[in-house]
Amino acid sequence: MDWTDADAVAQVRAGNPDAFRVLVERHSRAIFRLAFRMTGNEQDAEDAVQETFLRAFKQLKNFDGRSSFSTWLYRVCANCTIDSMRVRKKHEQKRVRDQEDSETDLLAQQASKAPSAEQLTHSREINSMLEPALEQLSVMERTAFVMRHYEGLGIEEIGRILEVQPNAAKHSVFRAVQKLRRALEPLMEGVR
Amino acid sequence: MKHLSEEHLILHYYGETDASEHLNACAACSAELKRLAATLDALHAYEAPERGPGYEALLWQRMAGEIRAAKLAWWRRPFVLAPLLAGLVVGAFFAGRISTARRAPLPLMATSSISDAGRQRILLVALGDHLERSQMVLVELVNARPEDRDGIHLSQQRAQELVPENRLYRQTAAQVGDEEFNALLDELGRVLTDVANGPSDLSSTELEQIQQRIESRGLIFKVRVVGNNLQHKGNNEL
Repeated sequence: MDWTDADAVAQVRAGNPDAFRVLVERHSRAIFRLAFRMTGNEQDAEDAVQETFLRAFKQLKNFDGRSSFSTWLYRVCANCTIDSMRVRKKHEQKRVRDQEDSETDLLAQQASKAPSAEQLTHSREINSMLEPALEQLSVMERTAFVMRHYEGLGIEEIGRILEVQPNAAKHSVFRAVQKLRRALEPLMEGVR
Repeated sequence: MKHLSEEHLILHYYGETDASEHLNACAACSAELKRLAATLDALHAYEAPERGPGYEALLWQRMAGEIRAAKLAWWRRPFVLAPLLAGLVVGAFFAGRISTARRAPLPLMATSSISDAGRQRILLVALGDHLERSQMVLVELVNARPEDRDGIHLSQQRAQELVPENRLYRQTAAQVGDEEFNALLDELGRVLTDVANGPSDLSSTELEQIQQRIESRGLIFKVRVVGNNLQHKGNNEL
């Protein structure tokens, strides 16, 4: 089927739910990548992908066509993922607070875990080094950063997707980059 | 020479501004950009695991049933969410929950254009949806930490959207004497209003007070139980 996104949306709206399959097949990999980079967890990302498409189907009436379908879908995915990340963070924070009697230095922890230059050739090791740094970001910072850095979206568009002013989106990206630099630069010195 | 700020360098790296002229003339800023670029370039190695062949088809298989089942609810939702009709239907729904002897006269539009069973189904879904979204806001707030200002602000925006909807449901429940719903929606409405009208930069004490209020009364649990019951009932009737 050579339907455009707009054709498929029109078909679904005309009462053909199976036309939604075109949209699922066309966008699911990109949505998975976005969800994975936001959550850092494969299972959570899979759940977010399904939740995104189900929510998108139910809310398709709200898609007014002013932005592209993929931009709108990114917004739905970001909201789904943000919701699930907040729930997950709560559980993690409670666990961490329970263990916080002896405060630990995250940077020192990371430095001790710094992999060798050889290990850096493997993406899994790279991910395991980068993920703790990304985990330090707030949900909003991580979302804005992922959209800017990995998805190549402009600040204005990120603001529209997250429904915040462009300035707020820009500052979320700034704070994310600053935190990432603080966490990663010492490690990178070690492997240069 | 005034050096570029880190923000400026970040915008340049992402192509949002062009600082090439300054960078060509300033060795210090150029070196700083290199350090920044090295870190950000390294982050490109953070890869999402590739999905196997047939991923799209498998995903669709998993969801197709739910999507086809949701179709009916989806078509009816635009009507549900229109405030006027929702108000009329809410009246009919709550009236239906109390005894026939006390039943309030049904609004003209509700009685003429939608069957009783239809009204009931629509309301089950709409109320369930309202409670689900409210629950999400409450969960976000209970989980929030004072430094996560953006997240708290988003929750406040969502609470602002939920307040008028909640008021409509609560007023109707009160009018028809549905005390159980009235009490729940009243309690929920007070919390949502406080959140929605709170300052954009809630202090940690204010946030803590809201969290204690939500948790001490078991509001999330109550909303979840009632919401789940409604949605379950709505799905069974669809």
